[in-house]
Amino acid sequence: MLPEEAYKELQDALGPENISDEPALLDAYAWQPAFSINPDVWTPRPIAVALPGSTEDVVAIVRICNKHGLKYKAMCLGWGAHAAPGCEGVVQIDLRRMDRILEIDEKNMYVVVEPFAVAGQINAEAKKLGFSTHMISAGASHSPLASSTSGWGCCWDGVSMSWSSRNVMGVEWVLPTGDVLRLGSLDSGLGWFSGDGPGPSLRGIMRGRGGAFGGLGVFTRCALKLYHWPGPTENVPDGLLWDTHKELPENSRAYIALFGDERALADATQEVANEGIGYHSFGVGLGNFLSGIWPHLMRNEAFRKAEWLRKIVDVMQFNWMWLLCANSPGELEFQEMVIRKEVAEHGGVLIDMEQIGLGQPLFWGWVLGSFMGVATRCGVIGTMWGQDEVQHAMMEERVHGGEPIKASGVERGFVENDLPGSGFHFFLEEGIVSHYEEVLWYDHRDRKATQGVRDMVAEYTMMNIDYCMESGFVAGEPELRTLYGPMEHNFHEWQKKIKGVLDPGDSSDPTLYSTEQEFDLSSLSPAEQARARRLIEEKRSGNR
Amino acid sequence: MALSDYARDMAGCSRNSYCKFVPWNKAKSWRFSNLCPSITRFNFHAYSGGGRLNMGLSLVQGRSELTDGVAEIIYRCQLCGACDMACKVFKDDFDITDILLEMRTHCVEQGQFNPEHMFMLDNLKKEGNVLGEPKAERGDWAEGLGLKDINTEKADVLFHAGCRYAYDKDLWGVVRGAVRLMQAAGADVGTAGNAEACCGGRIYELGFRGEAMNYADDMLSRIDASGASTLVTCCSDGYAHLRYLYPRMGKTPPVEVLHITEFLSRKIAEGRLRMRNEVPMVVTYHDPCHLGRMSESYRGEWEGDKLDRPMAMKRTGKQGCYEPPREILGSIPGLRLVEMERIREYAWCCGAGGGVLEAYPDFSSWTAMERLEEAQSTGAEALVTACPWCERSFKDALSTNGTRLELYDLTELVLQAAGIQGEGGDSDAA
Repeated sequence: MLPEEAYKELQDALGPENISDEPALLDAYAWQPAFSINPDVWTPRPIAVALPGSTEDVVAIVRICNKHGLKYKAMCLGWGAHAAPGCEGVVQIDLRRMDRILEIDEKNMYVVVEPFAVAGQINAEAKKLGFSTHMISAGASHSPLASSTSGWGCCWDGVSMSWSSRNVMGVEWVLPTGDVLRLGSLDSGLGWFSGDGPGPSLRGIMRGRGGAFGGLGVFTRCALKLYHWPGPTENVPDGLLWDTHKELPENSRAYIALFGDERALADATQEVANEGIGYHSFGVGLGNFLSGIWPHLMRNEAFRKAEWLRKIVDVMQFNWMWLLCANSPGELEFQEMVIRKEVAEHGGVLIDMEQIGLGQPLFWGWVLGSFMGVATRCGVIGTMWGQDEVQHAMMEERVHGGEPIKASGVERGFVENDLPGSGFHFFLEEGIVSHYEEVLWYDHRDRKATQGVRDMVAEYTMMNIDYCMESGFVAGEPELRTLYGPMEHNFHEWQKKIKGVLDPGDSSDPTLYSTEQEFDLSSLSPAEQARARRLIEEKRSGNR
Repeated sequence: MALSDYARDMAGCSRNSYCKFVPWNKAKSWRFSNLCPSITRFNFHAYSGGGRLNMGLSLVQGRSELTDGVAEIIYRCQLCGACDMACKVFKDDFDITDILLEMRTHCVEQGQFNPEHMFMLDNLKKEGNVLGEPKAERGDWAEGLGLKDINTEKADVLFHAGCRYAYDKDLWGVVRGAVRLMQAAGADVGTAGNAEACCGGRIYELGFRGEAMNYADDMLSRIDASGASTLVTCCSDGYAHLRYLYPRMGKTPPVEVLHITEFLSRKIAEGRLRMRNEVPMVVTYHDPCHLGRMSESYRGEWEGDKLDRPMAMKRTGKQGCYEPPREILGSIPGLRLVEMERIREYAWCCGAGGGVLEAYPDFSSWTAMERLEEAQSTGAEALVTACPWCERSFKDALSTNGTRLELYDLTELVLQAAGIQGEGGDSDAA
């Protein structure tokens, strides 16, 4: 319950129309089926929701919360349990009113945004000027500021545009105490062009291991890198999804390559990435993709039992897609030559997706962020991932680790049967990092599914430890941090220290940043539990 | 159905915010990429399509109660259907608009409705229209047009004027002009005069479902008496209700239902109406929600998992009346259409629907102003629409802020192009 005095102060600061403690309205913030490990779906209901319209408003909210010993949690688009309060007694700060694109600096190639400037909006404005912004796999309906300052975010454009945390430059940050800190060149009055100076270089402090997820105050403005977009400045196709129709831009292509095994795929795609080729570069399972778009098809018994179809999907298991956007015919010719050569040398088959009628919907769907997991039809998406510097190691984990767990989850009836055989896989930064996700589609209304996905988190986590991969499942952060911290230079202890210094009142919801919780292994069999404990101890000892 | 019957559908929301924005394939700018007036104006998530579902689930699960504040959130919505359409780009196993309608019925059942809406209902009961105008004057708009009286004569075409056109004298030129065009095209047109009553759709939207059923029965009896094979209306609201709500209530009209734009478009294509005069003007066209996405015909109820519904039974907004108005505009010599960013099934609402105009006039006006700004951004000289509620909403908004933009109903442009000018003028159109 929000104290009456605090409500009054928030009302005075924001205006009565921008604060509410109406229970049903608050519950609209507590319904979070995606990225949840809570089988009941509902997250803790906030005690109030505040709608700041400016940095000054945010400062006021933070100070009022500190004064009354209240916790707060900021959110932007709000997709996923990580956007909601992680504990009781939290004021939810909905940053929706702070939605502006403040500046597009064409010369220095950055855009300055507020928290609720949405990726699809920024992308639309940037493309008019010949730029693109990095878009995470959630798609166009996400906040790049949130992803860059506070969370994780990467996807198929990672090969050319890296990932969110590497795209952030100058930042305006309302610290947990209510003080405003400006990072990088911004603090020296030199604009937004650098996150590291001249001025305080605190991006590492700001993000910690993987973003503070609302545990270290509120980020109110930031600059994000812009990338070259060689396509047209007008980018609105006909159609909304599969019916999308618009010619690909000049010097652009959409290819898919099919390989015989994981080794061939890893070798060929790494070589292509090493050449810096690909506007987008990624692999995605056919069944996995279709289950997001056509879940009813995947539920069809005849479809699932069709052995011939299973064989087709198996053939496509080791696939890779490239969207090419070159600046000239010569550049395109070079890119195509390299791809053809590598695919041929590794026994693959290269298909021009335009030749099979899929080029236009897929190209524009990915470039505009409209073909996304955030919008799955069959319920929600869950994702278990790993990340490594080596594509080959990633493939090893994928084939021998991730896919069997997924298949087992399907067999147990936890997740949709999307004929599992391959996950979602892409490069970051011209191939120096390989990222892989096992995508799970499930109906969050089915308790067996939500409980089952909870169990699968444990299985995937052990797999990642086994393969020495980074692991992530955001809502499980308190457990994962406790588990992984001792294996990774005790980052969890450092985060607690940073939290203690910047947030002495522990007012910024600590759940996903510094709260610790023992990892729950109870869903594993006794033998698996014993193995997991040995494994964890072994890794922790190694780290020491 | 009761709200609790929609619990599974409401729980289907994956909280992805697609209901708030134009489909991302269609986003042309930051400025005009918002889609839902309610969330754009009031900001709390509960004001979005998805947020309303979350809130409804909370109510039926007993986590919260239906208070005055909650009812206000439910009614601060034009029921424009944009959230439903945007959600269905991906997630088509529930129908947001049906749930929003059910939430209003739930409010009424629980005694939660606002005075303005009660006033509309009282008006309807007393005078047969939601505006509170005298029933005895309902047919005045048609004076001198030589229309058949379907109370005593049969006609091929039954013309339903609708409440707004029947009583809003500022708009009489539109509805009288529509009749002149129909007559010029050779149609045998009749109307019910003072015996015409509201279609009942608006009160259905307010949650008074039982009353709406009565007015649907009334409408069907008039149709029956007319002997008509076709019903034509200029009222987009009535058009949508006849095509969707009536069949949903089990009261499918036994005639072809056409909006005036469909009728005129056909007659132009058949050569029965000739667009002979130049109308040198750059215009932009506003798709009325009830003529567009909300006018899709009722597809029946699907038993079982709605994910398995065949496409033909899904209401996606794509099958609304979008082409006839554009075909008409395209047929007018000298006229150039420049489109706004939010059009067709992802058009921004005019602000008048769902009882918002009556209960929350400021919100209605704000919504209209957003659209007028978008219209102005195209560089058009005039905004054209085809719905009396839209026109009223835009007229009122224009009168308050001095925006320089001409406003036309599509019929008025057809009158100019067809050379049918002024009251009682002879047609040279055929």
